Amino acid sequence: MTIYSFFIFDRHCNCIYNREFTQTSAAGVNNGLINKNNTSHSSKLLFGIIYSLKSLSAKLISENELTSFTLGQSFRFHFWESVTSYKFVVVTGYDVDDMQQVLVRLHQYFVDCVASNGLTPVEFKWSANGEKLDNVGYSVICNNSFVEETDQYLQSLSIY
Amino acid sequence: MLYSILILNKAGGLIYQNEVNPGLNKLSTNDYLVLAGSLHGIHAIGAQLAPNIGDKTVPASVEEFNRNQNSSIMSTFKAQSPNTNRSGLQNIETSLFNLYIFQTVTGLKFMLITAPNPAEHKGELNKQYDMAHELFRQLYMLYSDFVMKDPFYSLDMPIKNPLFDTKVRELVN
Repeated sequence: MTIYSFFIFDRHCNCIYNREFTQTSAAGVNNGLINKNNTSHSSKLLFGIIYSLKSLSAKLISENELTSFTLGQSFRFHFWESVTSYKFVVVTGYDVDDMQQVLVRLHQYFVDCVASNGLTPVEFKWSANGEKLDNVGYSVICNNSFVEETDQYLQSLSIY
Repeated sequence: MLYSILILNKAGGLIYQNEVNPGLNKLSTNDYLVLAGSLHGIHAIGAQLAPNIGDKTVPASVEEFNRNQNSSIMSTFKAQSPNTNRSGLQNIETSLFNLYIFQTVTGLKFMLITAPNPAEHKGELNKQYDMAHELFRQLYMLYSDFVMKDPFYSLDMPIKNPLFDTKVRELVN
């Protein structure tokens, strides 16, 4: 049981937060990458997969919500979307069951530290060609208290 | 409860579709073809994504990849077909249905759409997965026996074999 990474996508399909954990014994902010792969190939592929699976599940049965999917023999992707179209994705090992409560809790941290924060932009802005802007604070979440609290929460889980 | 069984050929075309129990939206044949095509695509994209998350042991060069491939053939005496995609999409869980995918070594895909995990089985994640795989095994046997051995069946074309239909019905009921 492992948590590999955590992504947030906004309603403009941009990855506004990306946290990758490296599994070391020392817990802390330094074990892994924060916002290093927002524009990478894999986060775009991930968004594409989620987008198609979401529309596919709504097509087969109406008013249906995607909750998780498995890739290969080792990765399970847990998904939850807020009504404001922020998409929360946590990548875990294959043997982790239902994570909806965890994702809702992460959204609560998001509301507390990011959405209610007057210094955060209303919309995370990216340039038209899909690049982050020079002023990073406008494109991704780099709010220390959000990073610390979500890290602390995820690392306190038994599945971490 | 099983809603539907789908079989896709190696190019992503829908060759068999059987609605076992009602529950899914009524879709047109064309919609099902689109659905099968997109799942085929997502399955392939998933294989690209999986190695990029977590461990990063991607072979450094073509030579290294070939060397690994050759040594695996030498040690197991089995060639890996390029269609054998075990790292693609395996299952999807939504609030109202589960979908399981099984790809054979020849690139054929079997898909099952079932009702979601019942609440009392929460935490027994892999139980339903094992049940789905047992059903896949049975279906694959029926396919081999009643479709592949049918002299009038041409490969990759829609399966319109009443005997296969009957056997599938017997299996799921």
